Amino acid sequence: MPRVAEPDSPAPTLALGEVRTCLIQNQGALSTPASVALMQLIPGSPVSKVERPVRRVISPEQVTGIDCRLNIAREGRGRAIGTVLSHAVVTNGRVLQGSAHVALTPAEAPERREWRHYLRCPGVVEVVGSPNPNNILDGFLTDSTPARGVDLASISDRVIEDVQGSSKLDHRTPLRAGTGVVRWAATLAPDTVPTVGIVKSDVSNVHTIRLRGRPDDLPMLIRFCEEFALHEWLLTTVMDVIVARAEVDIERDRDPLESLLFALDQLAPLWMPPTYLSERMKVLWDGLEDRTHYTTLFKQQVTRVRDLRDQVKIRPPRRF
Amino acid sequence: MLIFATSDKGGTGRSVISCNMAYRRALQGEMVAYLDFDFGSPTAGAIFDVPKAERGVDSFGLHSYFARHTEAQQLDTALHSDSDTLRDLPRVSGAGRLVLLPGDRDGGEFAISADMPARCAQLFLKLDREFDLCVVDLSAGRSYAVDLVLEATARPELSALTCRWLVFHRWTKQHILAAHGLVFGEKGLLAAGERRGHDPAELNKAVRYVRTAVVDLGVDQESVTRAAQGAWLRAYDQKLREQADKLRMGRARLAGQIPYDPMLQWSEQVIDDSDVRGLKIANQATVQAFEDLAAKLTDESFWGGL
Repeated sequence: MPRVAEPDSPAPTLALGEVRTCLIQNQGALSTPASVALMQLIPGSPVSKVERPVRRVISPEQVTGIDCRLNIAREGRGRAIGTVLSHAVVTNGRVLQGSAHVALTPAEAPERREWRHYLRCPGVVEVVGSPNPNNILDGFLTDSTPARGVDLASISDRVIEDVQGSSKLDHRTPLRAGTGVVRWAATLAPDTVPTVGIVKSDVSNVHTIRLRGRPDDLPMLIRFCEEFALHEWLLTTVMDVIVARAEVDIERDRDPLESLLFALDQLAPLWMPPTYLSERMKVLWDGLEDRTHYTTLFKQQVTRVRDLRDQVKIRPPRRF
Repeated sequence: MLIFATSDKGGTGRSVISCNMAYRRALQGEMVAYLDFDFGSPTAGAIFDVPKAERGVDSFGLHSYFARHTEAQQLDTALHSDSDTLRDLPRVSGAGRLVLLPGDRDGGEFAISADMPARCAQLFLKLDREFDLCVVDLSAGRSYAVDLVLEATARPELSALTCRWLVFHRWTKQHILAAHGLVFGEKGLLAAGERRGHDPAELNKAVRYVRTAVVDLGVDQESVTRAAQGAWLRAYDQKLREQADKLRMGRARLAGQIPYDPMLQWSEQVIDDSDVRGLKIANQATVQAFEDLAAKLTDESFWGGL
């Protein structure tokens, strides 16, 4: 679990993050040892792994120092100084995620202090100035590419590129699919019941999330966003890439069997909502399901994939 | 798959043909990226009719990606183009997308620094994860861009990618010689590739030729009115064929033959069936030639059978 702050520092009031999700550029799914080796981004630092219910291998946290202007909506100014944490996650040796996050606390001094000071709290950024928290959240969530403020997009993207460029991969693309982007911002306050609101952006594959929770919920909220990003990417990839293209392929006498089987063998088993993790996670995820019916939608898509597969097998296209 | 489009001389129609070829693939349902690697004078934005990239974008184009380490922006032509043809692409049933990675307005050529080939390879890998086809439009002649992609494609992380080269040349004696020099010459693609770790024989297997602005004696009957003229043209065409055969640029290596089309001489743009049937400003043979060239890109018997 990521470290949040030292006990004596003030509890963070805001947290920001970005998660990017894509397929690992490798013909086959990676074994556990191969996933662990791939996630060894920092030699000597431990890689953590969980085998069940899905195999999840997580790289050590990388620390990136930042000192930049905050992109603030409406009015106000602020400067962010501190460190961003980022890590990579491989799920079932097939899907790769790059996740960057930061917790915000008010700065005690109006000037930048020695880096030693900031390095004591990895993943915490001190905000110089006193902009309204809502303006910080809106500014971050609506920041463009390339970023004008805290650029977690570049950091999460770099995590992905570093892993995908690894010589441990064969760099064959088993299925062409987009990279999903989830940008999130959380308000942290004591005695808060966790809540979530999700908005799909105009840009394809991009979602923004607003969360609420207690300061000690932060690791759970980060995990929630990673799980949301994974499931959203799975649904989009199966529905908009595999099913949509298979329908066109059948219409045009091309054979879609390979990608249909990929969906059934490699992607469908990854659907595992994280409600088993904790009671508070369950509250958050159930709230999401109530509004989006994601699991039902995904099951429908998997049924559709099976139907298409059977259709192709019974009546093979004229041309292969 | 990566397709590198190059030519020895300017004015061959390389860019406009490559853009149309990319459009045909997108029409057939593929995700297509078009990379404007003509750093000195980006033109793809004008051909795709993307106003903000007409002569390259103000910032975050491919030149900045290499020279200043910024992100390379991707412009979906369905959203950014003023061309009806491209804007309507998503409405065609089963069509894919056509995305432009533009150059920068004030780009200019640059020397290759140590990190550029790795950065170039990273870009190609990333695009290959998302796009079925990447068309890389290189500038005319030997340029830094050509050296850069030769060096990037020699890197081990790109060894699994399919890379193919299209050399565009006009159908004249001088242009055939120039295209031959671009590939086989002392400073040609094969020699430069070998210096960067490519096997020249393997590289040569991935090179095909596109003849452009070819006067088609079957179609252009109105412009060939006298019998003597027709006879001379046929005889000269035969001579050019023999020359191309001798230079290992004959039929077996011919990926496409694009007829001379007056419309494209004046207006470099993406054309579709409505320009042929509705407006009747372009020739059916031109669209058919783009279609055939697009189909050849993945015709394995054509690329394998030498």
